[in-house]
Amino acid sequence: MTTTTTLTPEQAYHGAWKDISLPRLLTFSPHVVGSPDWPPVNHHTSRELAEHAGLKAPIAAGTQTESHVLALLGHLLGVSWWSGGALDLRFISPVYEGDRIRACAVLKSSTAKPFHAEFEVWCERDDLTKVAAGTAIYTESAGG
Amino acid sequence: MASYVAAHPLPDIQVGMEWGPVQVEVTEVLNEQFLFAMEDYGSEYLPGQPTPPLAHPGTLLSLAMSGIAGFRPAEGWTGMHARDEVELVRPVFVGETLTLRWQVADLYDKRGRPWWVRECTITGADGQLRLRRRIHTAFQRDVSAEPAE
Repeated sequence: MTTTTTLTPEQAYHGAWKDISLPRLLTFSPHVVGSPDWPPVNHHTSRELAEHAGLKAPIAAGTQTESHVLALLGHLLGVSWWSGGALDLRFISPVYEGDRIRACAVLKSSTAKPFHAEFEVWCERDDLTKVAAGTAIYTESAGG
Repeated sequence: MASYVAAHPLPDIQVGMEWGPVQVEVTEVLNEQFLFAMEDYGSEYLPGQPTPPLAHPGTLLSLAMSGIAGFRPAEGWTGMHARDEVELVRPVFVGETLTLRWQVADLYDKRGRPWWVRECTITGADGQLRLRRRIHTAFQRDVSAEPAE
């Protein structure tokens, strides 16, 4: 895991490429697989409903894209990210079944004591078009 | 094909309206489901560490949508998740029972479209806040809908 002291300003950090497959869309659900409420049937999970809605394929929830960004920052900053992180993300292009996406972050500024860091963040397809973009801020809590 | 477009997508919604509370346990099975969905098997999310596994952010954000995901706007309108703000206050670990609450935080018009902001708060069994999320949704008229006469 990268530590906060090893992050380099203006360097882009990337998460792994993720395949947005139908099984991944079906399991991105608050209902456990096999439970009566699973699978959810909507334009995120059903090719038929997506087509009916005028979409070319099931569309990934923005929440799923956003979660990749949060996870990347957790990887970069460690467990402290979960008690001092903040993300503001705008969704700018739909992600469909069959797309590949990855989360990205660039450290824009930081201070040492208390540690405070500001990132430009985004999520991109494998043609490098952005599907979501925004900012993330980490502020070290009083307890460290 | 819709032939009617309501005057507003949220005719009965007011700022301050609340949903919940709902209690949910972050089970190992649920969290592992999200590790699959996210293709993310980071060691911090898996058993076998000195501390309990962290709940994956996908698990938490999905739970934060769970109480409001079934909402449908008025006829002839479609909602789009356009922006999201998340404040991480304390980590959530597998095995915790969480309490989720939702509230309408804002209603406004921007660039000719109605928007609303729903805020979800997640607290732990100790009553302390774990996460706050603000979900911004913009509405547009259905492509297939015709304006009401």
